Amino acid sequence: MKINKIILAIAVILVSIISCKQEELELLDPNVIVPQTFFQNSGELQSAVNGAYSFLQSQGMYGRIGFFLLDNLSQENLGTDALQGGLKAFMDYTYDPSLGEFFTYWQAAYRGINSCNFVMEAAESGLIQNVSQEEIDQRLGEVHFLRAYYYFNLTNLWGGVPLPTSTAASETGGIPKASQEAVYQLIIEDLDFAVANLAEKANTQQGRATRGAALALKGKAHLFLGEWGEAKSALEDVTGYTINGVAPRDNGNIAGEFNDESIFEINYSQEIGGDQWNATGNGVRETTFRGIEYSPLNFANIIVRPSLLAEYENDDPRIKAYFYSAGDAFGGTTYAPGSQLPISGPVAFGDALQDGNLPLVFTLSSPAWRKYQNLDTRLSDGFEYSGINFRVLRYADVLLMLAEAENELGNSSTAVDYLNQVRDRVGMPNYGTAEMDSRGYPVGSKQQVFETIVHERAVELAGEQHRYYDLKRWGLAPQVIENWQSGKHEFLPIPQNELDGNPDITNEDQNPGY
Amino acid sequence: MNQKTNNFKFQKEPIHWKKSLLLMALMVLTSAFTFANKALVLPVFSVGELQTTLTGTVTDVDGTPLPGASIVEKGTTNGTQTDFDGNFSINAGANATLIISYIGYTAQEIAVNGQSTINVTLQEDASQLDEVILVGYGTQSRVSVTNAISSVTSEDLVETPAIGVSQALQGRAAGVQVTNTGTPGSEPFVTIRGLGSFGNNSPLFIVDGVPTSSLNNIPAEAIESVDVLKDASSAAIYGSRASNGVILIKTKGGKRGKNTFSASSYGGLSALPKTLDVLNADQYRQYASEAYDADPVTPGNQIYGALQDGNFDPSVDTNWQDEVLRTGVWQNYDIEASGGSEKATYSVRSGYLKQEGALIASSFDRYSLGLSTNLNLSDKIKVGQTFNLGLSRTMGGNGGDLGLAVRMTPTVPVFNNEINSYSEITTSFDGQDSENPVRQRLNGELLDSQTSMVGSIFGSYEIIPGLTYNLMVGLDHSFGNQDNFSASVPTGSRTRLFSETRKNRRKSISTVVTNTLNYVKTIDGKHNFDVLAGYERNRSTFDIINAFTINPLTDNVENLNPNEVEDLTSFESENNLQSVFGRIGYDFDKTFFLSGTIRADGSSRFAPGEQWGNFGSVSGGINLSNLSFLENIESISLLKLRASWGVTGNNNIGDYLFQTGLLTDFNYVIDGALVSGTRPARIPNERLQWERLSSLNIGADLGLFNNALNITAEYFVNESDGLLVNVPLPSSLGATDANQTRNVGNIESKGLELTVGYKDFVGDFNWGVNLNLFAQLDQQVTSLGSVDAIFNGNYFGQNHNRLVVGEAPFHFFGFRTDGIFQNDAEVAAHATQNNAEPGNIRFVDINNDGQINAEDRTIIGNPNPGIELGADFNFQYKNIDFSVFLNGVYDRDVYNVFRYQLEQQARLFNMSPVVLDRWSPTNPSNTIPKATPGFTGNENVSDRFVENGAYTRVRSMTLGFSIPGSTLDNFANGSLSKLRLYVSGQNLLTFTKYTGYDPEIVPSLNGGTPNAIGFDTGRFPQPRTVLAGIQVQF
Repeated sequence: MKINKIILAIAVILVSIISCKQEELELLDPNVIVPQTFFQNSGELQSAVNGAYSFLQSQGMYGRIGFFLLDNLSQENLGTDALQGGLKAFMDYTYDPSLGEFFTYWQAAYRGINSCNFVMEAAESGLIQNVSQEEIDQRLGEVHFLRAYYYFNLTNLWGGVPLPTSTAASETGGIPKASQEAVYQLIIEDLDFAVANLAEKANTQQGRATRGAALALKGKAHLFLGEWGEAKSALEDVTGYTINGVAPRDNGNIAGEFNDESIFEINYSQEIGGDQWNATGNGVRETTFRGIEYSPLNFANIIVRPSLLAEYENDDPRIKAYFYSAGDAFGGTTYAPGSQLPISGPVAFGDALQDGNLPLVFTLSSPAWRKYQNLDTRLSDGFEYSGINFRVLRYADVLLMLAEAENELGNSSTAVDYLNQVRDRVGMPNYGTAEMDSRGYPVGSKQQVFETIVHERAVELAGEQHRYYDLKRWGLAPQVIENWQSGKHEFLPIPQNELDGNPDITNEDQNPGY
Repeated sequence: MNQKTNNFKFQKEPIHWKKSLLLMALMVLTSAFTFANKALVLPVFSVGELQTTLTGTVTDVDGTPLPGASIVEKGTTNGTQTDFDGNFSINAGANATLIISYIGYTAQEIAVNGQSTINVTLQEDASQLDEVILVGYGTQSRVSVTNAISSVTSEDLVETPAIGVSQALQGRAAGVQVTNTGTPGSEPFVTIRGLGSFGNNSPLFIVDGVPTSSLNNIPAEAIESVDVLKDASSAAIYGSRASNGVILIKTKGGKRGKNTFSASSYGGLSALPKTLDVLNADQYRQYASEAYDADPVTPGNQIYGALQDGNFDPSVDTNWQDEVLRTGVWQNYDIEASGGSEKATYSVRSGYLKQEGALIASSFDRYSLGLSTNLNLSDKIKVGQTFNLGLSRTMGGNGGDLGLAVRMTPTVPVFNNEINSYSEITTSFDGQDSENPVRQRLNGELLDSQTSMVGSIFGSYEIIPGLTYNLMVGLDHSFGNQDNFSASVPTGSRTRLFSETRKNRRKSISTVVTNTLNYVKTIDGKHNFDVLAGYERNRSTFDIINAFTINPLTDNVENLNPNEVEDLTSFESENNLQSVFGRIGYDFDKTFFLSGTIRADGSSRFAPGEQWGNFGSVSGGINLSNLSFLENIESISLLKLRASWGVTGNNNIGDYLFQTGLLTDFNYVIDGALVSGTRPARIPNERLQWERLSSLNIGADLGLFNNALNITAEYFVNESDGLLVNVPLPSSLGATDANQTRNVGNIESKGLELTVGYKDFVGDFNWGVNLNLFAQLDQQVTSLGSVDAIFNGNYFGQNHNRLVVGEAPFHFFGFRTDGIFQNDAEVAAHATQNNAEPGNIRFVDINNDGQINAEDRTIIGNPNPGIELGADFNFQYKNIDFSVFLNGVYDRDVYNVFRYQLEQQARLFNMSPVVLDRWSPTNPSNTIPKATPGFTGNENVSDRFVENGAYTRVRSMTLGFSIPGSTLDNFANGSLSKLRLYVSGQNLLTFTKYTGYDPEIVPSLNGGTPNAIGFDTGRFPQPRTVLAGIQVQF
């Protein structure tokens, strides 16, 4: 009897223990969307992919720091007294690891990579539901392209960098620095995936990565690595684009967005608006500082460096297409030097608005950037954040890269043909003619063809963030860039914040010279 | 009672477990022999005695009969017990001596001397050595406790009028630190044995077996006992919730015996004992015009604007502290009916308390109800319930407006009749200017209402003798409403165009189901086993809705305006805990003790795979006074040595922390349209774990002179590890949040506790004293993972404290000062310092690099108390009783923000009169810098504002008079059994060097983190209160 009672009591307890429900211990935060319940339809997958794009647009990259960094490092820009110290340090080569702007760029790029990894991990772990395999492949193609693009910039700026391919924080909390070879290997792998899975431009929403973009970037990566054959083969596959009928002015204004030459753009919208102050990629911040920062009317931080202007042949129509100078039309009207502009009350032409900033004499010797400005039609844009998309990859670049690959492969005449396609678009004399020989651009040898490529890339792609990488890979930086120290300035210093927060990267891993 | 029944001869040599069998055999034999010996001797004593029949009643001091008390004729085996009404009858010799004893009471010896009726009043035992105390999921005889447990009785809890149990615990138990504020209804800051976490340090409160958080809604009068589990060993049975200690509260229940009805009430007055000295209007005008070098009466300049509200009126001299302070009225009523029969007991009590704050428009009031019943359905089945309901309303927020009153300029009147509005200074520097505190208090309403219920239903079934199954179902439920209305302010520098209404509604529900099996067994009369096994489930949910609307039309509607919604949010959370636990206790003849505890907790707060954690403890003790070499020393009634070690956890870390939500606003433009971009808000730490505490405790209990003097000493070594720290992630990981919470912090602390109780009865005069002392011997952070230092606190945009390895947690961190620059030569000779000029504070160049910068900051104080003291003195002469209760905190620093406010001279705030003696070229002060508009560095976090925060406070002093029983018998037909009148004062005196209002400072808890510990930003000081009260019992 007693034993029965004991058994009964133990049974009661056992029953309640067995009824212990493990699922009661597995609760999800009901206040927010959680990854475990995300990726349940096409819209959610697409939104996660959009997040990976958003950092291209953020303040660290094309919202602000990105264009300053590359245009100043390449010394296509000249700073005015209004230019902030950190941004000026890029062009003066006076920076050190603690420079906050480096960190802002670094952080934006790695956040973009993190978003790419987030989507890839969701796919690998089978979280994505109710989406066709075809769409999953397309979306994965996009994030592979984006990750490659972020790493491409990181490795060209910093050399070997940490190479996270997942979103998990390691036990030690550290991520070691990978070699530049390893970074490029991942870039090529990602781009191969993107090429295999992305659709062509015609079948893609405006602004998303395309197969052509992946091929062009892959060609560029091979070119940067000196892998000329692979570069050529990838670039030749970039089809469906042309520079014919595209005015040079239409690379870097609203009207030209997504035209036939455009391969990949960073998207902004004046209509949606918002600004990048204190932005880290989130919020409705769909404009870039480029409009106001490079404007001769307001911040007037930047003018065009005379050495860049000197690179142009005097009759090159791209001068007018890319730069403002006295006598140009503003807001549809032409103003004489020193005259008043009818905006926000009388403003002296060319004067900076900010107190104490430079009195800018607006003459041909100090022109301002017209590329990525809309002042010719809308004067007010000089005082606003810009909605003009940044053109990251365009067909003229592809042609010039093909020229370079062919030249290196020994096919100089094919190279000159590619160069002349770019010349023809702006009605400039062709290379290989007596006229060009007399102007000092003969193409009689591989070296001479190389020099014309250097010239043509400088004038065609000015202010589009190509020249810094070009000068470095060509080994021309020490000759061209003032204050350049060989053995140090090949790469930027790894930001101090990274050294502080990453136990696997110590001062010994810092790039040489810092 | 002492269990000195074993007379075996124990060799004075170390115990070897090998010998245990031999030992036991020896004991059995010796006891048998002793018993036989007594049996032979006893009849000899009784020869020739004249036997008479004695009758009598045994009661306690309240007149309550004590059923089951033991009456033994001294030196014989002759004895009996009292019946249910406390009556007894015994045959004894006319010259015999009777020993009357009852568990928990001091035994008395009474010589018969021919009397036939003997009525005995037993005093409760001064020692707590034989009391039964609460331990986790059960009770234990105090004598067999081998852990660090402090007990506080109901009498102590109500000695000082307190809102709830945590306030009442102040100074009552060694190692239990309670810091109160003077804001009515505010929860005190309670820690046990100092800070053990960088986050939440709150102990686990268990009321009648139910974990609860609504402590202020349970009156101190409703509580029968409080037991504080201080070491990890005693607390380990509560596993993952026990690291901060466990406070077990038992509410009052009925006692078997006569039904009683009692009522008590007190009323009194309460006001601040101190105000701060500030300048009057004339002094202020003079100071401001000199400091700002401008004429205060000429319109148009900054001073003029700051000095008054539009019109210059030299007759205005407002004492703002007087305007916002008052004498508050306190009142409290409590009635209780309780009693019971052999089969059932009950207790019903209800109370009402209202405390008006010493600050205008502040008060706390509460209705409370308590209900407890116990039924014995049969010999084997018992059921019962407890229930406590509280409805409270707190008005007026946390009292921070006192800071405004100190800073507000005296030249502004309270009210400006011309514009029919509260006055304000007319110019505003930066929004931090002082505001009219009277307007702040009166131009709106802030009301926080809370309804809370804590209750349980329980039953037990004795399956076989000694084996009992217990089931308890408990509920802790609270609803809170906050209603905050601010009327519009039509004009002045503090214009608020529209009235604002903010409301929140919050609900928390916590349920617990506990199953335990308890087996108590004694083998061979000496081997006592007490085994417990249990299973428990705990589920807690919380939700809140916040709304904020404005009303552009009217100030007359205080409700939400659906047409102008500024903010509307809601939040909900849930957590579940499932636990299996067990405890085994063994003692050999109440002399050698061993016990062990284990608990496995599964918590929803952690990721799958990390949810279950194991906690446990071992402890042992030896009662030396039961051993032969001490047994014959009459003066030593108890000497027990004990040691314990255990591991507990702290899961007070918030729900869902191991998860991440997704943020959906990483937008982009596709096809010209805005599209949403989604990514995780952070990289969650899926290996997140409990914070853990391992604690070693060594203790000794000594009872002397028949337990008239009791001393308990404890030494502990606590090591908290796995404390949560926000560790920076490599930025190359690309997380949205740059930090991840990880279990990498450690704190180690060591301390001593000493409790001394003495009680003496000398005829009509009784007196007693209880002292408790806590000393923190060493307390330091021993790890922060990869983080070098964590800076905390917000002192006008600067951090004022720091966590760093090797130092006390949250120590004050800033500059050392070295007087004042007297001339340019001194400035030139000093390290480079911003704004260094004659009259400004000179900072010490700690690192000798010739520059004063952030690197020169150093440790400038420690807010963690080194020593805490509680001392309670009781005196009783016939019907008059008097008690004094002191508590003190020593060896700690306070950062006096008020002092900064009053001496900064950077702003046009009102100042302390000390600024009249400020530095000037002709008055070379070395303590008060010159007046300079704007910030000069004089305001830096520095030792200038760190003060000695030690204090000794006369917490309460009470004088009572009880109407003698003989008088009561003639009054109200004898139905009245007790009538006591008393007067009492609280916070009558405070001995301190601290210059602020009150050295006792409750830190504002930022997400539970006590990082503002010892930082006096103007928490409302505690008032001085004088009360008169009455207690009656029928």
